[in-house]
Amino acid sequence: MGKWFKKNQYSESVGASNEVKDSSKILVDRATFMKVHSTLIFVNQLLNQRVEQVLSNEGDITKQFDDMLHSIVGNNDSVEKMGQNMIHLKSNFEIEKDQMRQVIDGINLTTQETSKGDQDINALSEQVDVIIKIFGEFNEAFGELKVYYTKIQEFTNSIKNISSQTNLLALNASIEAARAGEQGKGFAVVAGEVRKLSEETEKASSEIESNIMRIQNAMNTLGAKNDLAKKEVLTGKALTQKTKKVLDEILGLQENLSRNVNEVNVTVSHNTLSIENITKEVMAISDYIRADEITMKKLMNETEEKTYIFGDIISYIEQSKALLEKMDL
Amino acid sequence: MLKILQGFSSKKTTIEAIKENYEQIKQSNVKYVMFFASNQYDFDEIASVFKAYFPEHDVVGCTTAGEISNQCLTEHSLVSLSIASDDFHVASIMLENISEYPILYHDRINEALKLLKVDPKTVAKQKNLFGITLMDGLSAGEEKALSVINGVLGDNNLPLIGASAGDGLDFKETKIALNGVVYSNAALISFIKTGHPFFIYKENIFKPMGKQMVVTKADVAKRTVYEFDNKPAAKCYAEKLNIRADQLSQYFAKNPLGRRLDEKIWITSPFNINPDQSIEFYCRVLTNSVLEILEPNNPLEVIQETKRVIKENVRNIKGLLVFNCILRRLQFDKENIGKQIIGPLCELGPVTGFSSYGEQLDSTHLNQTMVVLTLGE
Repeated sequence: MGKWFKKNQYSESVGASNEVKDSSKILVDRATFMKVHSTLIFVNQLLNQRVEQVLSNEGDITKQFDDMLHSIVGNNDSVEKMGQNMIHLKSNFEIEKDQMRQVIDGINLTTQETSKGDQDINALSEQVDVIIKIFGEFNEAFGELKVYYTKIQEFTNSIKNISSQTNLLALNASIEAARAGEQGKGFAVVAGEVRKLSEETEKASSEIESNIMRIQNAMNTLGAKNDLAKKEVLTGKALTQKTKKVLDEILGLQENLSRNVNEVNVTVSHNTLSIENITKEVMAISDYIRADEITMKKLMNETEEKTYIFGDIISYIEQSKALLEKMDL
Repeated sequence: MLKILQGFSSKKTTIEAIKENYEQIKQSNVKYVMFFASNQYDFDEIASVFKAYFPEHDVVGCTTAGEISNQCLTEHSLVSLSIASDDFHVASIMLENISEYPILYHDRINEALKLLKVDPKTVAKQKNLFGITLMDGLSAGEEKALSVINGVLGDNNLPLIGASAGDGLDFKETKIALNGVVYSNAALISFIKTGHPFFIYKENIFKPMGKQMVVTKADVAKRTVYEFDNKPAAKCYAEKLNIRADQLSQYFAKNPLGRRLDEKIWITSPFNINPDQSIEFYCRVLTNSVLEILEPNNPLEVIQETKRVIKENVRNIKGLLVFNCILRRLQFDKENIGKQIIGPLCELGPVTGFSSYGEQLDSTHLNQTMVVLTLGE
């Protein structure tokens, strides 16, 4: 209880020195009254201050709600934008899928063509080998021919020889015949010599014949080989053309592929942009949410602060009431 | 040069206890003396004798629900501290009649600040100013007293640490002394201006369970809640804890309530259920406030964190002033961990304080909390 206020003490002193009109009223001394009065003025000030605080606090709370509203709206905008971006992204992904499929198909085609081309190129190279072999055989055949011609030359020379010798002999025979006579011995020798020579000539002739036959054969072979070579060269030419065609096709496919890949690149870069946009929106939303969290925390703090301010207000009002009660005012 | 000495005595007679304390805390250049006495001693005698020993400067003290010193938690003892320094200035005043209208004494606050040569309007900007409060623990007037300080200092930015005096669980009468004069139903404020680093810390050994209740009907003056969430208070509280309403009072110490402000929890302890299912608390509960239901944290872990934070914030510790709620003391006594809680603080420096009927921090009155003031150099 208040120590300065002692009911009994005061009623005694009152009875002693002052006149009391109404004994139910308790008088207090002037100094105490002034003190109470100034205290009440002070309390009034405090209450005013606190009420203003509450009002500004309310203002703060209103602002927080406003901020949150803005961010909710902002959130909605972001979510909408994000939704659009996602739809865009989805359709782009479909396009990308198709393009990729085309690319894959193109690659498959190219692979097939390339392996076909492979076969043709193999055939071509084998063909070239064949041609080379044939020309090799040509060479051999010519080589043989050369030999036979050389042989023929030899025999031709020998025949020339024989022929000149025969001429000499014939001359000799005519000379001997002129001398005819008794002895025909020399004539027999000459006849014998002539006989030898004609045998040799025969031999040479048959040699020549057989060589000519051989040459014929060789020429035939060469002719056949020539035909064959011609045929093979033609085949090789056809193959070359075929191979070129295949390679051209492959080149064309590669160009297609390149174009497709470019298109895919473009689509992918579109998608990348869409994804970037979505990321930005998500970050914006999470910024809003973070701001929301901060705002929420501020709101909660403001609300708690408000209860504290009210606590003080209640305390001042309680104390004033108690003071006034005691003073019986 | 800041020097803090701590005294302790468990002598049976008042005068012996005082003498033993004096021997331990006497020093030169003393600027402030505090003592905390078990209510078995003659408090009036302690008040006047201590003032006689230190006539020149403020001597303050109060009755307790248990003492705290480097002997950790003790009963039936007298503890004290003396602070000596060239840079430590104190002005102490009393707000009387805190159960009814302490505002009547609001001028004394201005006078105290004038003594310290501090302009009340610039208190918010002062970095070297703080307050210590000792308040009557049975008048339910702590919030009124704090609102007066708030009112005079404007938007209260004065760091403040304090406690409500106890009386050994008799719940009859608590006393506060200022310079040899003894008061009841009063609040002492010592304004302290110092260049020495100081750090005020609140330790909370509870954490939110994740369940809340809104105070929908309350009598603020009587610290009583009638309804939570528009339901009878006891019924709602018990439901949230999944227990029967008649078991509720057993859970008060383990599951008190707390306000959440600035990421921190400010505990308010229920202690009584009235027949009409309303619940009484040890500090004020306001209508429309959202209260978290709390559950215990591990005090042995929490004290290590407290110690770590204090060490981080004050490099060269010279002394600690500790106010520890009686509810915590009862819990520690039951679990026999008192030494493990106060011990780590004693490792930091001389510890002085008491177990209280409530704690004050800045502009709030709290329960079931430990507040620590650490002074350093």
